[in-house]
Amino acid sequence: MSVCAFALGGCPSSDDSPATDAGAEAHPDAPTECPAGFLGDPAQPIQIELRALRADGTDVPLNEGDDLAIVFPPQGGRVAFVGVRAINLDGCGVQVTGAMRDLGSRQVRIDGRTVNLSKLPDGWGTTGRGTTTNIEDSAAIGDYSNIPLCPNQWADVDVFDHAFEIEVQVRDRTKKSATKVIKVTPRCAESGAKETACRCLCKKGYVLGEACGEDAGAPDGGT
Amino acid sequence: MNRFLAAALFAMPLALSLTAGCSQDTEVTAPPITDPEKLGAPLKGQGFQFKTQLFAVNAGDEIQNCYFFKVSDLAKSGGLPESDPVNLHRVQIVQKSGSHHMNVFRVRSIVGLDPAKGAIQEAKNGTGECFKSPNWADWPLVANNQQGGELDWTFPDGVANVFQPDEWLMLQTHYVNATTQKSPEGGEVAVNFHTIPKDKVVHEMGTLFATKQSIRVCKSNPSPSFTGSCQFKNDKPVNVIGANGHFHARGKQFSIYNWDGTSVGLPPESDKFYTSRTWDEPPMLRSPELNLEVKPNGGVMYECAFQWTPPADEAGGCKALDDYDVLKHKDAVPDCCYTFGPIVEKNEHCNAFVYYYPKQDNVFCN
Repeated sequence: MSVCAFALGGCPSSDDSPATDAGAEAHPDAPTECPAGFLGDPAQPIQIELRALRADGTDVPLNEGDDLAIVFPPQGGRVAFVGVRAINLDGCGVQVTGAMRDLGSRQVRIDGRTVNLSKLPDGWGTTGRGTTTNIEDSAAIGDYSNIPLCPNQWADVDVFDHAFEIEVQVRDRTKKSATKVIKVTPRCAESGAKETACRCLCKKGYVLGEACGEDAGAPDGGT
Repeated sequence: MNRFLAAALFAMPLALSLTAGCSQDTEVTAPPITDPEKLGAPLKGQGFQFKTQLFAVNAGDEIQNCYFFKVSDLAKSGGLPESDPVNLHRVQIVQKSGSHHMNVFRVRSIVGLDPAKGAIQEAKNGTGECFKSPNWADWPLVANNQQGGELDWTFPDGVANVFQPDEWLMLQTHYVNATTQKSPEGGEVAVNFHTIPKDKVVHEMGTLFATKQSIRVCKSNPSPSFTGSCQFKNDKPVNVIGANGHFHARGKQFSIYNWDGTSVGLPPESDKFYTSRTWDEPPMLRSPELNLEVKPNGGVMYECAFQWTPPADEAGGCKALDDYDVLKHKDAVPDCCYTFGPIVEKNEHCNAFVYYYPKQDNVFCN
């Protein structure tokens, strides 16, 4: 007790159970205005296909062996925007976690977020359909996993032009889940100064603070 | 003229006037202190005090001010050698109730916030350079507190945050007097830095400041969560000795986990070492209660879980949120979304603050 008092509330809560009204733990019957509803057959396992954004905002399939665009996002640095098409799951409040893994060190970079899927005419749902506006002005990028790739303080090789593993985990509100893993090759996908900065920020051995040009985009602090 | 020399000449008189600058010959006693005016300075030669002036926070306003201090000036004011590094070992922060947050950063790249432009740079209701987070994008965190009253934290033996005499520090304070938080007494912050001699420093302390920016808390997706991570790229373990999380009024639970650096999903509950369910008074977990060893090449993972709530009518309701969203995002579909930003009434944050040792040069956060 005295220790807790000394810590000015710094003691961990004695109740560490997940909040039932937060995050992916929301009750399936909680009222929302999400129009997707259940997609497909509840008795079947979730099927997922991976999607990604190109530098021009186009949403495209992401398959084994494909190139993956490295893009300058509003938050700075460089990311890949990865999403899914999915079926046989509750399309509302879906937790999508995207990760890229260095095949050498096995280190990963991750981004997880809760999104509503948009129902497609074929009955599948999708995290997004891309954007026609500039990436830096886009709300649609919030529906994709913003996998942080650079600055490269983590991979044993350049983050561009080498094979990496993409892993995407999907979990709906009933905790039904699926995972897909493929190999892709990230590419600096923007031209000019942004490409130069990408190749600098994403190179093996990049040191934080190293200047990479005006368009390098320092990560935004956010307080 | 050298930019920093010019800045020093311009800012020094005012910066010194902001500091209490009056080291006392009596020991600091009687915690907890809730009035910044009553925080005594460290003993002469053992540290220094710096503080803001008392300022009003009118009803409906959010005030975020940035105060700049040069380390050598602060050292001199505390009777320390002004040309030597400062080895911070204990920090005391006292702020008037109503504070949304206060942070101390060490100044790095100059964008829109420049010590040369004045020792005090004020901002109100989202307007002004002190509200623009890209301005301190690469400024390392030194200390932070989100609670009213006093924070008094002595680091583990031999651990110090080391500052060079030519560095600038920026104290940022954010007070809200609106529907979500009240600041009836105005804003004021006082900070004491207690130091140790160089020969007592065994480990330099490092800090992490992680933020998720592409976040949206919307009416049609009312219970989202966002996860991110920080990795220490080092073949030796590090010790985490302080942590706290920051979000706004829609924040329901902030969790930080010990992370192995290779797993994709959230770590098991047994690896969770920090939980906050109190957005406006989040706990500051710190040593000696917190002394967590992170394995080589591991790090921390954090998760912010939100619950959408209707915006206050006084704040403009959903129309104000939608107008802001569409203004910032050309492809936004209005959905009464709280988006990333500093204004408590209409924006959300998902920030993790972590203190650790030994300091690492290359730590990646997202």
